[in-house]
Amino acid sequence: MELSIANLKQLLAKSSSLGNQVLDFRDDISITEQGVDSLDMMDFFLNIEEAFNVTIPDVDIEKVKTFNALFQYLRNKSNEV
Amino acid sequence: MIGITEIGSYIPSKRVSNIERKEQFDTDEDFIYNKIGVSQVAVKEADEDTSDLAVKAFQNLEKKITIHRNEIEAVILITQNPNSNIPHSSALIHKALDLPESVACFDISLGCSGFVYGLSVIKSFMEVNGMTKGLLFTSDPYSKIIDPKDKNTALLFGDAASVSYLTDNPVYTIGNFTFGTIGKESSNLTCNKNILSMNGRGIFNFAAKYIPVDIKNLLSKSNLNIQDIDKFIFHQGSKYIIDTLIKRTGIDDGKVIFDIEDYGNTVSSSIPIILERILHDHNNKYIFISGFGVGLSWSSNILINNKLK
Repeated sequence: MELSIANLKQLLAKSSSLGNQVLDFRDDISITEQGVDSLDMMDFFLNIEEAFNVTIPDVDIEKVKTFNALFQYLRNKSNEV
Repeated sequence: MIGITEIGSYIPSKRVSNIERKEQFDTDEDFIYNKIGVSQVAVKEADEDTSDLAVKAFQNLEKKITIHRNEIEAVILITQNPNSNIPHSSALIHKALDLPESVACFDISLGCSGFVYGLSVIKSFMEVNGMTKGLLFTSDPYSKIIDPKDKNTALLFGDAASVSYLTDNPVYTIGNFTFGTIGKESSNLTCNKNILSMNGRGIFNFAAKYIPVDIKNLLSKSNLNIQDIDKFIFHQGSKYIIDTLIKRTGIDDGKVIFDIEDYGNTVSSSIPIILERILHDHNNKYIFISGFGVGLSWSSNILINNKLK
């Protein structure tokens, strides 16, 4: 899967009970503040790890609250490889 | 062949409501009902201990089937919260039930995978020693170790016990098993200084990644397809974990039982409590059971209806 905010939103739509509503989420506001609960976030992070073959340690979760931050985090990870 | 003849269980009547604690834990009813799937947790009385719950499960078993206590040959208890470290709590059950001195009694220290492991152990132990009647208990009252302020655990775990009566005239025979352990991930669910601590994400990732693969492996080992299984009883970790397993395996959700809203996740008792309810439903030929949790450990098994073989 190509790394893009649009694709991240598609992954979240798969995880969240809000479904396609998340496609309209803002990129610069915390995802949880926009209505996604903690359990759906766990599923979302697992789907990201599997889709992009990365590991997101627990200590990094706080750093990736928005789509913008998450995208940048994953881009940096891919550059590390 | 040794298998399950009957199951008894005991769920304490005392409840602590999750709905009444929703503000304390900054959550809402939708999350409680539809994600955790537990609206209240069962809590034992202060004067009830681990072996007492097990004995009450046995008393309920005796209401369903005549058991000659002098014929019992083996007693195994699955627990990680025994009455005390010494003696083993199965000996206290032995005392309370006034069982014969010839009975083999021992405890097994496992959490949510414990019932399935225990089935394998008691079946093997009984068969290799020529025994025909044994009791497999589960009793792991987490209220002894839960911090009531910890949202991760306080809204989830409930107290209960079960006892499975295993004989050479079973309702369900015991098919193939799978087992596994990821010790390097064990820190996700621990008890230190008598307080339970759970990293929910670690446990979720473990269940979501490993159990679907394990299901495929056991079906393959048993020459069965997913459609051949009539009921799936997964460890009742939370509604979210069960829903995730359904999503990731494509199992027909009508075949997957989740039913702990009234009492909570009862650790190694969660599978036998559900199994008890469908044990005599002879529409089910194959029941797939899978326990997973503390360790991180898992085990799955396929039970085969002896009348529909």
